[in-house]
Amino acid sequence: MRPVFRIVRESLILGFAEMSAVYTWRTWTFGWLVRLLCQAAFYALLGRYVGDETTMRYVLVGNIVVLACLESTIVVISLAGERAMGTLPLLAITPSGHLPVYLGRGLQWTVTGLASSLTAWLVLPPLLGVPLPWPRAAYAIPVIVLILASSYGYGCALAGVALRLRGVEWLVLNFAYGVVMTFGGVNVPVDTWPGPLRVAVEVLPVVHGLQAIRGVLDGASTGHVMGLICAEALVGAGWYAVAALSTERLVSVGRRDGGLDHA
Amino acid sequence: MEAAVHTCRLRRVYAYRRRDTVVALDDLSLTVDRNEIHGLLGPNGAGKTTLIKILSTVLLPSGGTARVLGHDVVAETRDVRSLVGLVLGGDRGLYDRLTARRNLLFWGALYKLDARTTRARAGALLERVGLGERADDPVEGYSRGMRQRLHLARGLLHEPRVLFLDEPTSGLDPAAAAAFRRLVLDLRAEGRTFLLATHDMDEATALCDRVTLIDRGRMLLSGEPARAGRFLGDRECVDYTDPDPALADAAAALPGVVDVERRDGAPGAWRVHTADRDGTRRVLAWLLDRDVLTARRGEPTLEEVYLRAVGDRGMTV
Amino acid sequence: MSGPHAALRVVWRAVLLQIALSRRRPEHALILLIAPMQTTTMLALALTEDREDVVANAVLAPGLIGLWVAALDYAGRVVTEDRWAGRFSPMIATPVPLGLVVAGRVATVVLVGAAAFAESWLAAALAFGRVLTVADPVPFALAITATCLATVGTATLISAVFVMSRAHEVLQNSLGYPFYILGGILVPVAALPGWLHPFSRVVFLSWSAELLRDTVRGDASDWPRSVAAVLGLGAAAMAAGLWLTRRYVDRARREGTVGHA
Repeated sequence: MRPVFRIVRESLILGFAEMSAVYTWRTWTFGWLVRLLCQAAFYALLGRYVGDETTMRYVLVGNIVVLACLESTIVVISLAGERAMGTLPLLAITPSGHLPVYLGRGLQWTVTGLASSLTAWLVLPPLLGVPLPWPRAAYAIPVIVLILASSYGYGCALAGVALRLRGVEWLVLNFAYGVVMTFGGVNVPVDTWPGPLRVAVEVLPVVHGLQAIRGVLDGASTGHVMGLICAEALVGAGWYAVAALSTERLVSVGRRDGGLDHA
Repeated sequence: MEAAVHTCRLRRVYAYRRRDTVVALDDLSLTVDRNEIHGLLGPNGAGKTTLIKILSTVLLPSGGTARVLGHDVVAETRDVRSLVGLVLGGDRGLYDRLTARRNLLFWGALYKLDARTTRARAGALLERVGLGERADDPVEGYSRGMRQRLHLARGLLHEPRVLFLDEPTSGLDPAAAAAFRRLVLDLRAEGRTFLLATHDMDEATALCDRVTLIDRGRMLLSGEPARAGRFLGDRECVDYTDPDPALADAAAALPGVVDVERRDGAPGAWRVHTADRDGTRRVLAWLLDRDVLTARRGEPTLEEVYLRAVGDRGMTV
Repeated sequence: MSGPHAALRVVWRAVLLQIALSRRRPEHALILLIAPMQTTTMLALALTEDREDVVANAVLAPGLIGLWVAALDYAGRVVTEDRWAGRFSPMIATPVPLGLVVAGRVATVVLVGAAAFAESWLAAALAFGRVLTVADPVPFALAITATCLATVGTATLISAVFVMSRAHEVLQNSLGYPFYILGGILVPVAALPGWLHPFSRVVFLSWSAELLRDTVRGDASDWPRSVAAVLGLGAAAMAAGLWLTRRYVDRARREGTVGHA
């Protein structure tokens, strides 16, 4: 367990070092965080415009929770950078193998994702005049952490696609969280969609966790909420399995066709 | 005792768009002894990097076998990986945002070294490659030479017994390249083996115990760099310097002389090719009689051998 | 080289260059990927609440977002990328004003952004069966044209600001949603808090969004004033952008920072 812990630690240091090339504390807070808050507020305002306060709160809760997914999936960009830097062959031949790094390279985004979704959770509802029922709203926080984790696995799995096709990482990233934002029950309930789409949406991260959070806020039974939380964890585990298989294949195919170190 | 590296009819074919294939290694058989510095020479696209990738388990061969210290690179990948270090040339392969020390700590974790060992080795290696004072600066501000030294430190972190270096001194200024070579010699003195792909003939001559010249995936020759000429069945020759072309014409008419050519580089430098040792002796005596005191028996340089073997291909690949 | 004809030729060359560059970059399709998803989100929300009257907002908003993203994401990067790739020095050495080259390339990417309108319309028609018809086609076409021109002007300004700023990646990320709110592209400015209104009026999007919605519904009686406002704000941004670019180039020449990334 010790080596894994150290790899995670070193990956986090590397991740934050790369982030600090783009952001300082001030630019992160007033640039990135404000942008995320504005994004959630934008849809919340739409909710109020087309509906009432209840609609607004529904939309706002969804858009705050989905921020966790948005940030976690940025791991796609961090991993694609690994190809550009030419480190893939060097990673592949270490005794730990490539997997810990593949799963560790975007961890900084889960940390910032937690910070920004929690800030939004605390700040936005009172600011927009739809306060949450505290202290019940505090029970949502561990579920947000779970959603961060499952979304991160989802991002890692899709990073495999970005690493194969090269130069499409921004498309993959936007598609990844765009699908969740559009169909994942963020703005309108999942059962708005026609049958097949409703079934497909079940495998997306956020979907069950967000339902659990809505359940917590509305005072649903513990059993119902726990069931949804388990479903979210299961979906997350599934995405981690896909990520592991896909990176395993990426490296074995790369060793066969010699494409591992192409930029 | 097993050789450090042994390949037998090693073959690698790359496929492009299903139809086109390129043979990068064509039945290459090569042996590198333990504790040897072995140079790998050849033009761009000769197969040097492909060979190094196969030996360091980054790439699978299409045919033949390759062993490192007795372990097969395909069947015993895990064993091979713990024995070899890969040092890439160029600007890629480092984390620019991290300091040199942090880069090494990162790789130390991946090589499953414990924290204390990693810290100690990282510090010692950085001092050794001359980066001690800049160890805590981000790599993005490093010069080419500093990056190259950090690449080497990274490759040495897990104390591999065999090191594969892919053009480690390309783009370095002469002083930096010389320092790099001294470092390689020191490391060899510790019992390590080096396989070194290079374009630099002077480097190969100065550093390598043996060189192998490959082109289009095939071995052209292999041996000590100073004697490389013999392997081509090169003839004897005499070099001298004299401004008078008439002397060269006269020399050409001597018995036992095959040819006289003007040498590139120094003005008035000539090379007289002779048929055998008697011819050489005769030409030397003849030149000394004419007060040409610069005359001496010539030995073709590695570069001349290289150009002869590969052919002067200019800029074509 | 002088005269308007020569200037137009420079702009045209820049357009061709940008087309060639964009074709090799898959991420330039980003807007076209996002627009249908945004239409879906917005329309689904409007229709769940039975607000047929908001369909026009939901179809037009992704188009406006597309234009804005084009201005930020691509156009804002044009000069920055050139500087990064070491193309800045040779470009400064040419006798052509840099601003014209930038404007020409910006115009091309803005046209790609405008395709988001078409996509959004299609998404509404195919996925939701809502075929948006335009009641006042002529003012609508004028409004779209004016909006595209204003986007080119604004993009020129943004690219100048990005070049001069060290934190342009941060700016690029942050200048989206705040402007979608201020620009009233989905929720009309009137529905925003009153203290935001003065800020909204200097963002050309607020005039464009209202005008486009009005022309679709057929109650755009005051359209010449709005078109003039959009064009005026766009021209002002363009002028400021060209001025800033020129100042930057002059300073770079003087201080020898031309090639710095």
